[in-house]
Amino acid sequence: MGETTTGPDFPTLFSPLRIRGVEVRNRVVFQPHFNALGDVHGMPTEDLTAYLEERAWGGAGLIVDGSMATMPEGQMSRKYLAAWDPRAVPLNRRTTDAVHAHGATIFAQLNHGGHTSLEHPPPVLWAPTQMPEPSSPHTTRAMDRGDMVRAIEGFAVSTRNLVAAGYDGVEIKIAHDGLLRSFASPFFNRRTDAYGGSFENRMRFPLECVAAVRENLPEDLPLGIRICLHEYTPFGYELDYGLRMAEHLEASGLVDYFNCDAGSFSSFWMEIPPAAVAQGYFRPLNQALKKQSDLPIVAFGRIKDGGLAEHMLATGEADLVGMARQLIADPETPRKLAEGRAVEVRACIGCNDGCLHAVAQEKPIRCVQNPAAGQELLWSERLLVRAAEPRTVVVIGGGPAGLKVAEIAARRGHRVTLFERSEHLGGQLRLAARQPHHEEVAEVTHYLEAAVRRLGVELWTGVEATADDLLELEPDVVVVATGSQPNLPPEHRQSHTDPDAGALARARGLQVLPEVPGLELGCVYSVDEVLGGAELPGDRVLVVDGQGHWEAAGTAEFLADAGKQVTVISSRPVVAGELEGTNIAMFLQRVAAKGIALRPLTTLLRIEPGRARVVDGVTGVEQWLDVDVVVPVHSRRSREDLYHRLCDLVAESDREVRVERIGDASAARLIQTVLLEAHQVAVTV
Amino acid sequence: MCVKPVPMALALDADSGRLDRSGGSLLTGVDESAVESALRVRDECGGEVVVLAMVPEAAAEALRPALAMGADRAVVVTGAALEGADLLVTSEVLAAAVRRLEADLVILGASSGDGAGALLWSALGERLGLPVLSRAVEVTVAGGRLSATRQTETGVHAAETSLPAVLALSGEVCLPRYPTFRDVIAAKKKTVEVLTPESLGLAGADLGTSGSRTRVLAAAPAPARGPAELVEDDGHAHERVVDFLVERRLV
Ligand SMILES: Cc1cc2nc3c(=O)[nH]c(=O)nc-3n(C[C@H](O)[C@H](O)[C@H](O)COP(=O)(O)OP(=O)(O)OC[C@H]3O[C@@H](n4cnc5c(N)ncnc54)[C@H](O)[C@@H]3O)c2cc1C
Ligand SMILES: Cc1cc2nc3c(=O)[nH]c(=O)nc-3n(C[C@H](O)[C@H](O)[C@H](O)COP(=O)(O)O)c2cc1C
Ligand code: SF4
Repeated sequence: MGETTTGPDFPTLFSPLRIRGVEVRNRVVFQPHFNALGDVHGMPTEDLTAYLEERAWGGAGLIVDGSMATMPEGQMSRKYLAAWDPRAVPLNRRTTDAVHAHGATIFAQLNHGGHTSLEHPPPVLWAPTQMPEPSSPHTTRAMDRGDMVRAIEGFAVSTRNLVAAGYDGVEIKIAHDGLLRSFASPFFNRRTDAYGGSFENRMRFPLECVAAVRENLPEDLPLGIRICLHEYTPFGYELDYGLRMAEHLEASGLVDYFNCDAGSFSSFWMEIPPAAVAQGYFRPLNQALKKQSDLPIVAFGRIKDGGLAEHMLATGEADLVGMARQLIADPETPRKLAEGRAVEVRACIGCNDGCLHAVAQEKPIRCVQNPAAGQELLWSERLLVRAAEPRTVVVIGGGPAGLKVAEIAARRGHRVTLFERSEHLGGQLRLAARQPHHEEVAEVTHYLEAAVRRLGVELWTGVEATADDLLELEPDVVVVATGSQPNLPPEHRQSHTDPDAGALARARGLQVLPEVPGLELGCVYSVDEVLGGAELPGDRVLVVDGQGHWEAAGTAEFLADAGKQVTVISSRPVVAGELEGTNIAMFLQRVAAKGIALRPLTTLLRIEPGRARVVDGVTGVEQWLDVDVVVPVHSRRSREDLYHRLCDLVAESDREVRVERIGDASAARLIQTVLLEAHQVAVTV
Repeated sequence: MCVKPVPMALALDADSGRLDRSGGSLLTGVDESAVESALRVRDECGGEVVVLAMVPEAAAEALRPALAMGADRAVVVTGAALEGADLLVTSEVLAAAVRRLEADLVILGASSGDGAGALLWSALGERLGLPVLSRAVEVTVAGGRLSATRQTETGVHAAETSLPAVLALSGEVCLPRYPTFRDVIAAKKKTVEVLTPESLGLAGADLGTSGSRTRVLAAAPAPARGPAELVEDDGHAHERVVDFLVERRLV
């Protein structure tokens, strides 16, 4: 416990830094983020303490807890931590103690939600001038002087509570959401009193709040500003104005560091950028602020690679590197880098599916890559115990599910053998990663593949397992992770290369085929065929999005990039509607640029060579669409026959063998719950 | 004149990094392609493929994929006395094992990861008093003779010799076959035969480090790979990259 060692490979990253009176042990900052691990009264739960403690254990230098709300009006979600409330003090103390025990420093971020909220419907929203934040239909109340006094008092009271709870510093959010940026913004602030009109006037109220915090902080504790440097909206401010705000704040002498930030609710894909935004995209912003400021600068935004982090520090782009999602995905990132185990780091894939998607709905944070995120008390890898008796575990399938179960079972000391029928591990993710802007999804199985190799799992690739002979391996446990296949009729061409693995299940009434006539035709291509590189007969392609996530959306884009003329239909009100918000926003921007036609509320009825019959979900009007190729993307069918045969064989034999099916082989879905399920099975073996 | 060939693939490698764990994929591509070549000769001419390696006992499992591919037997020579063996000792031990197995054809990969292999085949041929065909890219065994196409700096040669003989392949010359699930299960049931220097009549011989004429003066783990030097493209990045490669004589 305690200090992590200095990594020889990352000398700057693992050098300490003093901010005002506080020494931070290294340069890695766990960036503040609403994680919805507060309870419905805004009190931190034990899950929250465990969540932050895990990152302190994992080697982060500085953890910024929150955002926390400064007053009830301005609490963006009922689960937003209530910093103003004295009842939170002992609970926050539990967190600061847990973090300090590992040698990390902990600050808290304070925010007044202002014109932005996650609640439906939102409570009254406070703003300098009455107008909705453009991405929202809900308008605001223009604050009067009395409101301002109360808001300032909220910052003061909250600061006193934070100090009492043992925080080492306070960060104020003048960033992508909240009240203070809206005051600074020429677009949102149209006041003509002392708090608007001129730049100095717009900065007046934020500075009054900053001063209230400083007055209530002990002399040696630092005060930082999370500052939005660029709003990335057509109507908002850009970098030059963001830098001017920073300059003005710095000149007040009240500020001890800056934490960079960008975007707004109207450009929220730049706040928490998904994988379609390049890694390190925001470096020019960080650099520009670093250049003009004498204060320590925290860089932000899609920094996940230790080498890039070291480079940015060593070349003087910033003084600390912020990592929110990288440390959500792998809390142990700093420790691994410091100990020369960089190859073991599990990368954030920038999907936003587990983290942002959950908390935007005020649900506790999760992570696709890390099944333990937000539920450390249940599933942390630190809780893994070596099996009392090593057992023989046979895993069938080398996709995410099979690899995860193999990894965790091997870490627990079991003898694990894994069979994968294809020449390569990775399962469907090998296809998924061929979609545009989706390459990073492959890092899920890259990590797992490296882990199982390191752990000495016996791997057989290019070997298809069958139920018949399996018991001869004398397994104690068999985990069937054979995944899923497109649910096309067995007569379809697909069966030549990917034999129907659901016939037995269908015979038993456990599966059905989709009831669309024509799915067996030669003009029907599965996603697996398309992404596998099949040559398509013609240019007009109809993609049927019955899935809503990347499988259809990314395939449509893949086809458009290949020069096809693509139409996507969906029975639901939105095409690709299951995508997380930042992803769908950027998908729609690309759809426009690539000329993909979207037809929501449209259902496929039948396919004939050269055309497809569809019906409008609102009017009921039917229509033929002339198309050369149809790519139906409805829910995949589990490759579950092997599982059923094996269960029958075990029942007939006198052997004690535990048979489990996991992942898509039990129900086709997204990776997050697949990996969690695999982890859960592996800890019980 | 027809000899019944008993080809033998030597999956040789004492590089513990690769062989100290059991695992399905620890034979290198070069080794697997040597196994594949041996299997092809057997499938044509009959006989038996024996995979032989001098490795610590714990590494014996690494031969399992060769058994799954279809090798008939696997034999490892192992023993504490062999620790630190150099090329000379290794070739002596392997020669003894080959004699014991009465092999008609000894096939080796071009070189093993530890660097010694690039010479091992010649040392082995010398000790066994057998003809050696090296750098082979194509192999045929027929009528008791071994013919091979050899790839050298100067071109492609055809060469031929009588059996028994030693054959060294030039890298990954053919695609190894994938075993079936049944093959794997069968392979997992087979035992890997363990020979010791004593059982090969080498008891008391000077083996291991003491018998080796090569002395390792110093050995250090390769330094962990540090963070890469990142070159920002200011329009001249390509020049920096070229300079980097030239400086290190990489081009
Ligand atoms: C195009 C596409 C994009 C996707 N994008 C996303 C995304 O962005 N986010 C997300 O969360 N999910 C995504 N998914 C879903 C995700 O890929 C699945 O959740 C995940 O792959 C399921 O993992 P699995 O291991 O259960 O099955 P699979 O990935 O299907 O792996 C099963 C493996 O078992 C092997 N196998 C089958 N039978 C045998 C046998 N008899 N013997 C040996 N091996 C066998 C198969 O070859 C395969 O490698 C996407 C899927 C597709 C097709
Ligand atoms: C779920 C989630 C919630 C966030 N909430 C906040 C927040 O409350 N305050 C804040 O300043 N930044 C917040 N952020 C932004 C992060 O601090 C960070 O700037 C952003 O995720 C980009 O950095 P990264 O690529 O390292 O994740 C949030 C990010 C995520 C993923
Ligand atoms: S859910 Fe996705 S984006 Fe969020 S931290 Fe995990 S891997 Fe990264």
